[in-house]
Amino acid sequence: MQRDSTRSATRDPGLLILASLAAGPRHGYAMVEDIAAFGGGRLGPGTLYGALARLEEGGLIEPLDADDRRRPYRITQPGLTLLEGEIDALERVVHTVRGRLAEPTG
Amino acid sequence: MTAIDGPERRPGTDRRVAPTRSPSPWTRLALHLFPSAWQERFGTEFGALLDQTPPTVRVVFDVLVAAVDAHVHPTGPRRRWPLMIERLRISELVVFASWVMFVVAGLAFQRMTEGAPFAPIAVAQPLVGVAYATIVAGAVVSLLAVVVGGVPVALAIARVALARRAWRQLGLLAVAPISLAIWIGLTLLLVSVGDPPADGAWRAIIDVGGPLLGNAAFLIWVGVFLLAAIASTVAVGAAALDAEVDGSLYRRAATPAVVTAVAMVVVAGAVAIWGVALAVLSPAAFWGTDGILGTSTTLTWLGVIVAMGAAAAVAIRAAVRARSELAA
Repeated sequence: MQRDSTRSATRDPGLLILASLAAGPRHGYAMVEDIAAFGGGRLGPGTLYGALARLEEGGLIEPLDADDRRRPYRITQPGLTLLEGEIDALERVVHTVRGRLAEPTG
Repeated sequence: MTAIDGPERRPGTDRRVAPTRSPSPWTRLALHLFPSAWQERFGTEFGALLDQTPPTVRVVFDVLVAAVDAHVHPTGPRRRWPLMIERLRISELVVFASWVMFVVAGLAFQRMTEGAPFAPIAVAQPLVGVAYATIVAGAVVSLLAVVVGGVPVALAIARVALARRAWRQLGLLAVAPISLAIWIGLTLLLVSVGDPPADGAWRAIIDVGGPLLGNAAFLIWVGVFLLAAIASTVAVGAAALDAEVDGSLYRRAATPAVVTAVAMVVVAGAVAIWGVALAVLSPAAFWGTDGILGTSTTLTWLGVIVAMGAAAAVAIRAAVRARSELAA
């Protein structure tokens, strides 16, 4: 997954897709709805499929058999490993920043 | 981390909002914007998602950006061509588009300098004359390089399109000659209704029915030319991006692309020298009002320099990328 250091991790389409697929295989529309439901914003169809193509090429997700016109995707083990690493990094940042915000400024 | 469900469980595959059986007209149009290999891999499922998504302005913009991205950064495990050829093709198309912009600026310069007072000055002042001759020579070299690099690719695209009966691609290829025919037709019409040409057919266009009408005719003539150039460039680019021709054609076009870009830089430099030499050797002409539509010569020259410089810079950058793709 290509990372843009200037973009919030919580707005990275690739990370959001991996987070959505961590709950199980989903097709495009279900991913958009799920990501919107957990607060990641509503991904446009082009953004979603641009990210899906890159994730698939990177071996982080894999396509399953098509269901009518829709094709579900599943996160792979490398995808899970990457997602866990990203979440750990985010947690460290959140923990550090929360601590700093709690400290009295002076 | 939650373990993923097996393929037998398909959360998120509910049919409450199932797409229609066949793509809507908007979806079919949107899919055509993407490369054919991308359409083949993702078209059906992407079409299903589009059918379930209202085509708001934001969605349309999102799809347009994704289509451009799919052309510029082709991805996917079933990409037909090596990435190098895809990038090479993009770089060469950028050189071509820059060259068209360059030609438009060059025609403005040509129109300004084809008659008095500039033609006699070019004869009397060797530096101005050499600069002008360099401009003409560079323009010819760039044209030849575009022909050498581009015509084999265009012919290959046409051959493949004919063999596959790909009417859309054939239609795209037809845009350039049809646009050119329309513009030539307009030119002939304006020349035929204008005064008899005193020093060449091109200058007669501005003499149609007095200065006001003549200027309006000239602006229409330029506008049609610009539209034709833009439409032709976009159509040729779209046809090339969508065609599956022998990748070696793009390898062979890399050197002509570099020659085109270098010639553009040389011409832009010669136009700059021409203006400076004119300012020094014939200030009255340089500071006069013999620019396009009787505007300032200096401003027209500066406008041409800016347009040519920008086009040449983009072309050089793309040509260097093309060469580096070949070297990689």
